[in-house]
Parts: sequence; structure tokens; C-alpha cells
Amino acid sequence: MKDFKIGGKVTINKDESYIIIDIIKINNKIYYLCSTNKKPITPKVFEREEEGEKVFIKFVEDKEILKQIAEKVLEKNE
Amino acid sequence: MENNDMSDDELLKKIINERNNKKKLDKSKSHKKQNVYSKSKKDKISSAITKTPKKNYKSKRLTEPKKRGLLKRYIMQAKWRYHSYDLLEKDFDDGYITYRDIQKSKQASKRKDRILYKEVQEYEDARDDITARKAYRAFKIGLGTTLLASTLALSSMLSKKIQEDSLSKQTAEMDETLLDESLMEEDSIYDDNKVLKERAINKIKNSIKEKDGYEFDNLSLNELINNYDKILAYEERMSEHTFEKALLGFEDQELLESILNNSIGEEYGNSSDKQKRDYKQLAFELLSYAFPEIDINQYIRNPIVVDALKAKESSESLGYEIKTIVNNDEEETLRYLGKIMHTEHLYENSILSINKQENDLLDNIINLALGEDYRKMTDEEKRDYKQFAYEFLSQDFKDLYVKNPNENANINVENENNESFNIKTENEIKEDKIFNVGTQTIEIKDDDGNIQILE
Repeated sequence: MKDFKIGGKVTINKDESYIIIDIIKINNKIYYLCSTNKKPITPKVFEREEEGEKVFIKFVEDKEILKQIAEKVLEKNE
Repeated sequence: MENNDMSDDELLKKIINERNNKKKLDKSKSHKKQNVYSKSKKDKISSAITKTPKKNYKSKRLTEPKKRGLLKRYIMQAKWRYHSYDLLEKDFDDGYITYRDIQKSKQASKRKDRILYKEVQEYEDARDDITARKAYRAFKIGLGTTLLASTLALSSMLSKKIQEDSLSKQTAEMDETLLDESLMEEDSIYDDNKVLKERAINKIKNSIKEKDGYEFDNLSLNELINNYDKILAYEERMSEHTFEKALLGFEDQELLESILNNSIGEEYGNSSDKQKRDYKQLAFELLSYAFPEIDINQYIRNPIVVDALKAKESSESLGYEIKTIVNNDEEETLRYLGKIMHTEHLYENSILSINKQENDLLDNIINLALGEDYRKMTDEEKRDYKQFAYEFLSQDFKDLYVKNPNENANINVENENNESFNIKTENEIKEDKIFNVGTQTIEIKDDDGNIQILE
């Protein structure tokens, strides 16, 4: 099973790749806080889902989840 | 004459006796003096501590002790500390003050003559008070230590008791909470508390997952928490007659929609098609919670069944008939289909799962969803599920990554003259990149090479 670490690179296409900045766990779900690899630098959040031995990753757009992740990140920094 | 009358021997004896008596008297006098004055100050104090005051007065003191007030005693102690009695003490030690002098002073008629007695008495009182204070201090220290020890013991005992009480109270509270929660677990679907609501919806989700293999992939947990109790509350107000009516009019799915419109109307209206599908499933599943004594499956079809029937129709129109029976009673089939739907959702929404090199993506999806069960199936069953999986996928995904398992699915098109053309299969068309799902444009070539475009 694929294991992602902080600082790791997630490549989707040749022109689209992200770097994992933080790994956050909320409600037994794992989220990856990433930033784009190239300029303009923008943050992105991915959600990890597992089915059998396969790992799926999808973009998170749910505002409430994004808010929770932001709060967690701030808590960590404090 | 008398001396003359006595014999020489007698006279000698008399003289010797007198001399001896004188010596004895001198000795006793000197001994007395030594007893009173020769001892050092330290010896006096130490002996005063060990002896009782009465004995002390008789043996050591030259004056009688006087009862004094506390303030006066303090003043005397201060004098003692500042060496005010040192001169008197020196006279005392050197033997200038004798017992006879003291007695004379005591019995003197004039006031000025009595001063010596008073001074000595004050000195002796001050000296003896030191010893008394020492004893009193020792007593005080002893008493304080005892009090402190007893206070500590008492406080530790009390604190222990308080701790035990609070712990037992806390445990009791925790037990009560656990008890409450365990009791609430059954009926917590009505609770306003978000945590309990979350637990309730998770419980519902898990039971649906086990029963139908369906997961609410398109609804967030918050959406489920906010809406499930509204749907449930509305369903509880419904009568059994409503189900019968729905069954007779073949409007079971319409009934689910009306439930959603009446309970969470605005939110349901603003939802996407996939979310609406999830809400429909939720409304269907919650009916069995609202009417635990009624078998809902007899009145309303599971939305998975409806999806499967649509897939069957679609497949049949493309030339392949799915023979697997799908209805509310086929629980295993429904569970398989639900699992396939969930796995397809993962594939469709994942950015990593899209592996263009996967040759038979459908096989992979079903394998992942059903696991061992899929491998045990017969070829016919496998084929049916493949077709189901294909039909459940979104059109965009199909176009990009999946081939129709029905290789011989032909598209029969009639032209304006009602002539039928046996054209390329769907896959062939896709390979030629002339099949665009977005606009549903199909380029068709007839036998003469004329091109027709269907939209």
C-alpha cells in the first residue's frame, strides 16, 4: 500500500504535482495538506481513501472539512 | 580553783573536747558556706532544673520566690539578657552577700535596708524563671509537635477521605454517563447533541453498508447529520396507507422524492444528482427505522434496484441482456451492486486511481469491490456484473477509460427512408474518436460512403 510522507511529492500529470506539507487526521480520515510544486504556489487538500489494498486520493472541496483542517494546522503551530 | 580541783588528765580532756567542738563548729560553718556560695552559676541552674521549686527554695535560694505578673517577668528576662544582674551575681558568687545579710535585710524596719533583699529576690526570680521558661519552652515545643503531628494526620486523613469521596462520586457520575449513553444509543437518533447524532448516523451508515454495501459517498458527514433526523421525523408522521397507495400507483420512488421535498426541500432541491441519489437511499433506509414493525421492502423498491433495472434496460438496448435477477429480496445481489457503486465512486473521484494502463478496468473495479466473491462467480455471473459496473459509471469516465464489455453492441440507426444500417460497434466508434458523449454526436458512414451526423 502506498505510504505518503511529509515532504513527499504527489504527481498527477507531468505538469501537475504537489508537495505534502502536513498530514492531518479528522474523524478517522487522513487528509494531506499540499502545495503546488510550481508557481503560483497555492494550497490544496487531498483526502485519502483505502479500498482493499488500493489507495485513492481525491481533492477536498467541502468547506467545513477545509475549515477543520485549517483549525488543526493552527493548533499544531501553537 | 576548779582547774586546780581537776586532775591534769581531766583538764586535758576538757581542753581537747572544747577544741574538737570548736573545730567541728568551724568545719560545719565552712561547709555551709561552701554549699551556698561555692557552686558555679551553671551548677545552680542545672540543679534547679532537676529539683522541685520547694526543694530549690529551701536548698538553693536565699529569698522566697515572689509571684509576678507576665510583664514584670518579661522585664526581668530582658534585664537578665542585658546583664543587669551581673554585678549582683558577682557579689553573690564572691561571697559578699551572705545568708545573714539577706535575713537582716528582710527583717529590717527601714525601706532602704530592705532593698538588698528585694534585689536578690528579683535576681533569683529572674534566674529561676529562665529555667522555668526553658521547661515551658520544652513543653511548648512538645505540645506544638504533638499538635502539628495530629493536625497533619487529621488533614491527611480528611484529604484522603475527600479524595475517595470525590473519586467515588466521579466514578458514579461516569457510570451514570455511560449508562445514559448506552441507553441513549438505542434512541439517540433523536438527540440534539451533535456527537450523539454523529454516532447515530455512523451506526445507520454501517448498518446500510453491511446490508446493501451502499455508502453515502456524495454527502458529507455534516450534511447527513443535519438532515437525517428531519427526514426521519417526517417519515414518522406518515401513515401506512401512504405506502399502499404508492405501491398501487407504482410511485414508490416518487414517494421517496416527496418525503425529501417535504422534509429537506430546499437543500434537496439544491443538491447535485449524485447527492440526490444518496438522499433517496437515506430516505429509503430510514423508513425501516420509522416503521420497525413493517417490512418496507414490500412497498417500496430499494433505489439500488431501480438503478439496476435502468442498467438492465440500457444494456438490453445495446444488445446484451443481463439475466441476474435484481429485486428487494435479492439481498446479496443488492450488496454486490452497492459495493460496485462505491468502488466506482472512488475510481471516478480519485486523482491517483486513474491508471490509463489498466487494461480491464471493469474487472479491477469489481475485483476490488467484491473480492473473493467475484472470483467464485460463474463466467455468466461475472459477465452480468461487468455489464452492471459499466452501466453504473458516469458517461465521462466511460468515454475516457472503459470499453463496453458488450463487444457486439451494435447501434442500429434508421435513416430518413427507414433503412437500417449496421454500423460500427460502440467501441470501434470510440477508437476512431468520433464518439463524443458530451454532445452525443455520432458520425455514421453508410454503404455509399455518405456521412450522417446524429445529435
